[in-house]
Amino acid sequence: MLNYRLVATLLLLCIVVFPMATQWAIEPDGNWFRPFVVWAMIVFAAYVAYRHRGPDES
Amino acid sequence: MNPEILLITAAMLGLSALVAKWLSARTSRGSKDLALSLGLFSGTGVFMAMGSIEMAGRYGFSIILALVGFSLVFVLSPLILAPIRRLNEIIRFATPVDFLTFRFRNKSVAMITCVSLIVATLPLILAQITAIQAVASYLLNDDYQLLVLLLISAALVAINLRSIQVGTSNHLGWIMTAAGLLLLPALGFSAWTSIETIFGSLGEMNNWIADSGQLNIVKRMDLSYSIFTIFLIASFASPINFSLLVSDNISERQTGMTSWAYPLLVLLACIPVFPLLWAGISVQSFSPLQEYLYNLPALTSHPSVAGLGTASIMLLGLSFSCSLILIWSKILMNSFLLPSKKLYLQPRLSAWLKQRQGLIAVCLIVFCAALSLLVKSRSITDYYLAGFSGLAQLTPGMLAAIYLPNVNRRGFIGGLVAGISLWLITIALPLLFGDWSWQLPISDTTIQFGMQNWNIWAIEALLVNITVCIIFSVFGPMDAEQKSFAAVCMIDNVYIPARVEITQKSVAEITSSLRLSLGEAADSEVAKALDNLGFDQAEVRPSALRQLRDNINASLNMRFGVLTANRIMEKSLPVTIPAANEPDDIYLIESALAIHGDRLTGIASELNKLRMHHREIIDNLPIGVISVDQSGEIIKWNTTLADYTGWDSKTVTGSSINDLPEPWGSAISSFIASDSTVLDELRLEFGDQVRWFGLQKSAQHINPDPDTDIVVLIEDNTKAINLIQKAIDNERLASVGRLAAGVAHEIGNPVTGIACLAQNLQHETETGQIAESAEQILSQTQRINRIVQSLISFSKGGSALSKSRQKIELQRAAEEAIRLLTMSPSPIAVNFRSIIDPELTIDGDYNQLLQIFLNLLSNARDASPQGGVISITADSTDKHVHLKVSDQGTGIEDSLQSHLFEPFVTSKDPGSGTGLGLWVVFNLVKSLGAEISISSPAENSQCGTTATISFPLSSAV
Repeated sequence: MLNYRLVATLLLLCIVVFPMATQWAIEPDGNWFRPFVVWAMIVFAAYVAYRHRGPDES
Repeated sequence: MNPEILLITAAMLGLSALVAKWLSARTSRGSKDLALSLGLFSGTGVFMAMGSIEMAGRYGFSIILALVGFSLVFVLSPLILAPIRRLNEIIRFATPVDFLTFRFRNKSVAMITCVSLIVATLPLILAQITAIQAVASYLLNDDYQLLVLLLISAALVAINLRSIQVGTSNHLGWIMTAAGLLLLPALGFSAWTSIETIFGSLGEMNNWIADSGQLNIVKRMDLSYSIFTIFLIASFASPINFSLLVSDNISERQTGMTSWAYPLLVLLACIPVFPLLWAGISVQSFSPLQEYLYNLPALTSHPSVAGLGTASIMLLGLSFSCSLILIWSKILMNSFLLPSKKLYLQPRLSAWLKQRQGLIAVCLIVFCAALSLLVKSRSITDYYLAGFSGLAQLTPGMLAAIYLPNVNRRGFIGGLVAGISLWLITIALPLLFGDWSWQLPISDTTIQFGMQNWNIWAIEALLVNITVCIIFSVFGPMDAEQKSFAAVCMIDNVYIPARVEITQKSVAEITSSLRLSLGEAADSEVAKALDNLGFDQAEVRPSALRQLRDNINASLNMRFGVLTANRIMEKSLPVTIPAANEPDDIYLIESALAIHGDRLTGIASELNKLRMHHREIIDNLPIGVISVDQSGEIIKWNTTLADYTGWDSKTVTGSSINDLPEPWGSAISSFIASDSTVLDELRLEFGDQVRWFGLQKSAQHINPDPDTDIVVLIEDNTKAINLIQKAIDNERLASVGRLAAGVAHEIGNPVTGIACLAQNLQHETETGQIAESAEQILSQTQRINRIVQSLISFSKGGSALSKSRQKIELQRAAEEAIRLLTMSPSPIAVNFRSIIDPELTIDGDYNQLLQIFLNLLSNARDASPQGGVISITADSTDKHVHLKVSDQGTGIEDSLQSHLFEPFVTSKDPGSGTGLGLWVVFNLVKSLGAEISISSPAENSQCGTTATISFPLSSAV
């Protein structure tokens, strides 16, 4: 079945979160590692989603 | 030449080989998960080690977007990879070409996709060769370029041939793991040592990048859209990603783990890229940006870190090239060589396949090496950008395969050919042979082809691909076969093979049919499929044979590709679809729902719960339920029926009703075939046991519907029928009892008269012969009296038994019974031996106990041999007194033992006994609240019989 929750999350990310995160990452006064913080948050979100799906299933 | 770094590089390569061996020896889940993520990571290894630094210099932070895009496919795997993985569990795809061939159903699809994939990934192989050559030039010098190329080719040939021999996933996977494992510390240490040596600290570096303006330079997002799009799309079509995540059939857990582990590894590898870039710019290094990984540590006197970098690049380049060439050789074999080959002519098919694949791989390696000499040398970044732009051309077709059922073969081929052609003209050929331009004839505009406009041409080619695909699909026809397979590949489709019919009826028939296509290799294919499914050679269930066929098909897909596998299956194991609409295989639907039920959402999930509830009801019904389809295949077999028959649902479901073992098979199939909907009493024998069943079925024959199954309900009526039988027997015995009472009364009076007359005659004569006759008459009348008394006792049954209770000494009753029997004349002389404690007493009626002793001892005497001993013993426990009467007679036949306490059952000769003695004893014992059992042969003996009565202990004792 199509995972509508995932699609909705992606839409939210694309429309709201991603532009804001990009703008924050490349602000002139920001540190150079800001994009990596955004990336780390994506990895963390993926990890949370993985745990939520049930990592113990084989 | 750098002998120190060369030595360290060799040591690092040796160490990584040891790590790879160690990891391959470990079978734990953790090490396999780590190996998978590292293997995937090493797929982008050379780009990370070399291309990314140059790309960061060219495009700034866009490199981060590119790598996020490349790893985003793993984060989005539930939407993109999971549907293909689910299909792969049943169909099995070795490469993306197989998946697209399966979806679009044509040999031309296989050939065009195969060529496109090879052409698109050719720049990636050239990138690996360039990377290894660059490292080799750094370690040795430029004079050995040709020798290095020969060595690279030789290493590629050796690794490829070995991988083909032992299996890719067993061999090459661990090399890729070791390469990925080397790259992370290489990048980390290289960046750290550069920061420490060149800037002094991280803070100093931050100050320098702010002061020098580098911070603002890298924050530009040049070509960010094109780079992000191309990397995202290319990752989806990457054959190595497909091979590791789809073809290798890894677990759901492992796939889930890559969704965060792979982006994390790429993130960790990307962080050192910018410090390395700035360190190089800071020291104004003259080396190319792509060589900073090992140049900067060498420059700052860290040869071990430089050696780590060079070793990781060499290993990454070799492992990636080998993986890609293995995939190339496989798709070339599957798309061009095997579809027209007569495989049954090859006596050693496996060896022949390996030999051919090895030969193709060697040719490809030679071709790549020659090409690398001919073409213009480019940077690693250019090769990767060109390769990824080419790979992206395969993605629209793959996405359409799982999301757009209306995209047809013509659309896919048209789009791919248009896209890849434009990519070739505008990017690939200029990359290899130099940029070129074209002056438009009607204007002054000059169109530039080559890497300088790669971003425009990559997006253009993608748009042309998609546009042509849509136009051809909208206006082109789509046959039924394409529609059917388009539906199968849809993301929300749970693929259930149709309930087709195969002509073969056994495993042996399947094997012999498959030999027509595969020769002797068929035996091992069937054995492997049987092993996978847990079936044996004797399997005949139609559904099991269908599963076996599907499993063989999947295995052939992996081995020979979809095209050849289809050809083999159509020739050797063809299927016929029943005349009605293609029916679903209910059993497989149930199995699929059981496995994938947790994926259902919304109303589908609620319906699934309802399904499980109804299933539970049917399973737990107190009557057996069997559902049979119109072809006689068992669809449902509930738990109660499994209890009745001893065959569980898993064993029986899918069998033909005619294949059920006896006695059930013929009984159920003949009932289904009959016109009757009810069968009240079905008598089935199970060894010595007889059981009765009541059968009912749905009235299918009244209104036949090919889509409706026949439902049969089976109820175990054994207890009810036994009760009815017992009631009938009791009624019969009651009638006999009433008759016996009347007869006894009528016979008793004349017999008493005869006895009196015989006594008179005895007293009045002294003549020997007459006296003897009178005595015989008396003896016979006594016998008649005994029989009459037995009949009267029988007629009175339990109701006539005395309810009066008193304390009785067992010894006294036994001795009186012995005395009475001794007085009674008998042709058999026996010795009675009574060993009973005089103090043992029971509660009951003395006469009843005496009658019990008389009957038991009389029976024992009749069965004993001349001079035999009849022993009477008794002992007591806390609650019971156990009385035992044993003889040394012939014993009782086994067949009689279970009926001993029934009336008119006797082991004596006809006329010698009434068969009522033990029946009377049984009833008397019951009235005394005791239990009786008979064992023959007697306890501690090989012959005779022992009667054991367990009385409740008297309250006075």
